[in-house]
Amino acid sequence: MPLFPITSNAATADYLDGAARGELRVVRDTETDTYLEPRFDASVDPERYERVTASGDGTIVSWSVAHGKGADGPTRTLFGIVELAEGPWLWVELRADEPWEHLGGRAVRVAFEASGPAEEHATLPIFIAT
Amino acid sequence: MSAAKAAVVGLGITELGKVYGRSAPQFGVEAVRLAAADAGLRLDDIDGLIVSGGLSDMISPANAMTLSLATDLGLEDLNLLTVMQGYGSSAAQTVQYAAMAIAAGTAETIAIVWADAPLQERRGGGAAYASQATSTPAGWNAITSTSGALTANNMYALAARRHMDRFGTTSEQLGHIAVAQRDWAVMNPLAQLRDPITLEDHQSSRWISEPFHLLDCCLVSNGGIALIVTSAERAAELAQPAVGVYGWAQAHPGRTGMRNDDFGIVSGAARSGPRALEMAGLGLDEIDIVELYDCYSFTTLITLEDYGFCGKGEGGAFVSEPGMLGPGGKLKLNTGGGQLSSYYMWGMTPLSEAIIQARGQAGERQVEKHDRVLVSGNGGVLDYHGTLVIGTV
Repeated sequence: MPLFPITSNAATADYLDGAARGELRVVRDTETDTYLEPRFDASVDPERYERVTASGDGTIVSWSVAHGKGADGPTRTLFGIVELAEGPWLWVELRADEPWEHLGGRAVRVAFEASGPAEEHATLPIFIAT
Repeated sequence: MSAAKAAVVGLGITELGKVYGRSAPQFGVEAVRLAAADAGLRLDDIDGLIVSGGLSDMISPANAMTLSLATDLGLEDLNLLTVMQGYGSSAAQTVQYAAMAIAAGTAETIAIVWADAPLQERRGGGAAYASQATSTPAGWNAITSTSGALTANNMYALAARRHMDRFGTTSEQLGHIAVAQRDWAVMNPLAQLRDPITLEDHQSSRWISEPFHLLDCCLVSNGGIALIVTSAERAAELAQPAVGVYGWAQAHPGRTGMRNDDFGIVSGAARSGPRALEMAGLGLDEIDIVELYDCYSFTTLITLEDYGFCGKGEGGAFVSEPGMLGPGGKLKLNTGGGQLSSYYMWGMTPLSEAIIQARGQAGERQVEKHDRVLVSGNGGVLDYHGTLVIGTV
């Protein structure tokens, strides 16, 4: 699950509101018919750029397991970079059966998870190896 | 070879490491005073000041390196005063700016200072960096952090993994860099870690973020380092052997967190290195010493590839070649122990060691031929790069 609760702001509102609805939002460049990362500021040219829903499919570009210390002992978090079927990259939490090895190039599918228990805590996309 | 565009004539290094109870500006003031004294100058000989800071600037605004440092130092009527931030490339960038300002006549004697104090007593270095990530619970960086890429450790791990997947680079190969640098650090009285390590020690050190073990990762240090830069002509009159600034360049690939086909594969060093060498009128085979920004063992490896010491993807085999690295090795690389073993003053770590070596003042670890030194600075997650070519005058 996400490491700590986060909230939405103006820059991330479309992305996180979409995640709360179960949609993965990205930006489409209508001039070139290509897709851009959700953090791209579509407001710079609203006639050219539109926010759209992506398929939710992707492949793992790179991955790591972060080792830490939690209240209940050692923790491990699987995360990585996913290339969406539409092209953009996302740095996201990953889920995969163990052992966590040779995950580069694996296909993944989006799912959504709340970052915290409160109503204001945002829901985030996570990606599950298929 | 081209003529020196400017010269480093003073170097001030405060106590470094787990030094508590002092702010970054306090370290900065001391470092500038030490650098001026080292050069044989008075503080009022300084007419330019370039200030740069580290993590403290982000986690503790009251502890940040700001223009107020000029007031703290009692400097008045400066001809140049600014704060610069290029993360790990800052040190190289500040020297470049100073050299250009001196050449343009904007200022004559410029102090450059970098200081940081993120470490707190009874709190690990990793906690200092994690606190920066968790202190911003909204925005794109917060989304990245809470998803697992909490600190630079995690982000660089993704870069290293991609290199491994593409080229077959191994953890053991990265370990050769860590072991060789520790062998240099053993001879560096400024180094925080001076006990020799083996490849087995590297492999058995705890995981931080796979594929990085603890011994792949830099230290976190408190302290400050300052330089005095002036014209090559004026340098001849001062107390220390002048270190000429011969070439420089920058390259900033950017696109952090966005689609970047070169992520983990090619860094800014690939563009800035050749341009800096061209400016200096030197070939890579004329470089005597290489001081690379080594926030991680992997950063050293990719920079070696991008500067052209070996082919792309061949870095793992290159650093593992018997007799290549460490004292007595063919490549004089990170001769003070680097950020992995000596001290973590961001880009001032490789730059300060380069100055010490070029001056011939490295004591037991002094490299015999030390006329031309190649220095790198790397910031962000391979996003910002600065290169310097410095050496004897």
